[in-house]
Amino acid sequence: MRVLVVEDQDDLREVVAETLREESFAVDESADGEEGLYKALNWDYDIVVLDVMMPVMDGWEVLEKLRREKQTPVLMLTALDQVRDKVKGLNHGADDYLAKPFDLTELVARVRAVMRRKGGDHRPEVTVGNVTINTTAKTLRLGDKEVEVTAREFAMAELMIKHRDEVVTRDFLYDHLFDENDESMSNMLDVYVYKLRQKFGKNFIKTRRGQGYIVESI
Amino acid sequence: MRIFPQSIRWRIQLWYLLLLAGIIAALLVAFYRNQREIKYQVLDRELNNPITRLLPRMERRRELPPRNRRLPRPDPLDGMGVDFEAQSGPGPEGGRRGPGPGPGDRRDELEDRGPTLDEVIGELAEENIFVIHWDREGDVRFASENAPEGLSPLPDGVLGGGDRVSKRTRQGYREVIHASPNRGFLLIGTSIEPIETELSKLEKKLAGIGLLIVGGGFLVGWLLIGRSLKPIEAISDAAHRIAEGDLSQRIAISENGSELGQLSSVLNETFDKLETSFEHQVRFTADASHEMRTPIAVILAKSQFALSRERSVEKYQEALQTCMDSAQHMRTLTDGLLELSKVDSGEFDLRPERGNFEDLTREVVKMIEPLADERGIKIRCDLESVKSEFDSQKMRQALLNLLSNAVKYNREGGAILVGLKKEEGKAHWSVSDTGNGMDAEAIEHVFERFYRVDKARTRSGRSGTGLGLPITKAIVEAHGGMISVESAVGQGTVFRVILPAK
Repeated sequence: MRVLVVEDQDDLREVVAETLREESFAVDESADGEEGLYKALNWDYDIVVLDVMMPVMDGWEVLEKLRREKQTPVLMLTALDQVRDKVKGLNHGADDYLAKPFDLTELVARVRAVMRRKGGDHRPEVTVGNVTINTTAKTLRLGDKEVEVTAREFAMAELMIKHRDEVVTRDFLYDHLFDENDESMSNMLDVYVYKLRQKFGKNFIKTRRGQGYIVESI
Repeated sequence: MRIFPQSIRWRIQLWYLLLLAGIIAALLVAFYRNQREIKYQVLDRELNNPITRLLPRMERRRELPPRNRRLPRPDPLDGMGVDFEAQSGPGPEGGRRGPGPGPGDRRDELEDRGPTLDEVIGELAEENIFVIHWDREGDVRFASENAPEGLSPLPDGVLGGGDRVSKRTRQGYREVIHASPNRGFLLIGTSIEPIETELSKLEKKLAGIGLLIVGGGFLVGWLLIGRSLKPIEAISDAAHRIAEGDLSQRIAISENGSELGQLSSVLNETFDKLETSFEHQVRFTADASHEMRTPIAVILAKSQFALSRERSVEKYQEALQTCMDSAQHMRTLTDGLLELSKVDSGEFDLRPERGNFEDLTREVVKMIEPLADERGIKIRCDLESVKSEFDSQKMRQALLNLLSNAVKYNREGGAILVGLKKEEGKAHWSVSDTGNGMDAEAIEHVFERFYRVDKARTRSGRSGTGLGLPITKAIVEAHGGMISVESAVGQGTVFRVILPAK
């Protein structure tokens, strides 16, 4: 899952980004609204965490311009916690709202909740065949048995399950699993697919030759 | 207990109505009385008229025996309503002296072709006038057929003087009595019923008219008073809504010239000021809490991040460093807020001592030089000695703010020029930088609390508190000086401070 964090306060942006990375998200950062909007328009993020009060272009403007072209989920992050501002944010097409100062755990939970809602899953647990993923607890189970996975493996499984029954291209996987500073080679994808098949069976991820991969729910 | 209603409208209305009703009633009563008097005067004239026809004929009948009808002697109390007056108009005797043909001629005339006494009485009876004649002893000599029973002449003794004519209204009759020592009493009377009926009709009509006028007056008054009190209602409405919390409410002013219109505009100005200061207060509080939230958010997030799992010593150190930086930022912020709240509450005390502005400026330049060196900025000084009395600690703070801004908003490798000279007994500073400058909007707001020209310009390093320039301004003004700024985008900025040099 790839996240964009747009926040002008360096310390805050860094800690939010780092936290999300530890939650196995691929995280891009922007220190102002203009740059943030540019990135949000040019990559398909799974969610944008957007600060309201920013130099150059504030969060409302970024949101408005983004919404003209894309339905990327947006979580507004701001120091204003008045009801009026929350309503304004939600009316402008924000998917959720979090007032500063916030708990990092709440931020992560909301990020996940927004992405789940956008993906059509309302509960954190989704079962595909005999594989069950819990995005909150960050666990993968084969049948009843929990299987140890690395952060990247989990991220890939999460992304594939979210887009289950769709053919997922390698480019899409690459864009959503690695952030802009990641210099991993695209053949790393093959490694993760191989590892996941090893752990959950050959049929968990199927290859569609010349197109990409697919996780089928039945 | 209040007798009058509380409402001003009702009070004015009541007084106005009382006055109106009083005037109308007085006028109508006067008119009615006048009408009544006129009617009675006409009636009296009608009753006086027959005398000229009766007297000559009575002379002729003097020898006739009195009728056997004897009326009772008058009761002394009967004098009520009797109105004696010396006859000045044409009386029985006076008639002879009056204008027109002489009495002798008239008598001949009457004897020749006039009707008899009975005929005259008959004619008078047709006009509802009755006549009774008593002799000196009070015996009825003759009486009209339509004369009411039980009438009596005047009380005794009246006959003593000369001829008299008296009028009286009694028991529904108006009577004129001619008393003469020779002839006795001649009473000519008529029922006043027709007159009274007419008068009572008039009375009703006048009462109706009076009520109509008062009613109309009530309506007109109600409208007029309402109209003139409308601004008060508007004032009270607006004040109500403002009290309920809607500070944007204003009084709609309809009449600028009136006292209430003037009051309204004064109140509106007051409301404007109230709203502005309230908005300032609200914005200041919101801004202040916003400014506090950011460092709190950093401390909270950073510490939560550090504690979320086992980390390296370097990570912990970095987290602590970030937390400390944020806490320090908060300290600067709260210090600034405290200082400004002192300015607002008038507790901003100065401790002036004698000193030289030049020394102070050099000191501040020295303090700021390391910061300027870091960014390759050269500071050039052009300072004159200016002695004065000032709070050196506060003035140091003010100059430090200006100079650190000049460094912060300068371009890398730029320059700062600090000037100080004495002119007309005043110290003139100028602090010029070679930064990006500001646009007109920024210049307008640059001394406002929490206003930041452009956060992007301070990308290098931690942003300021947004309180530096407001505090500088407060310090300068507390010293009786003024601060101004000149700038244009791309041309750098010059801050000028003028302070009295005592």
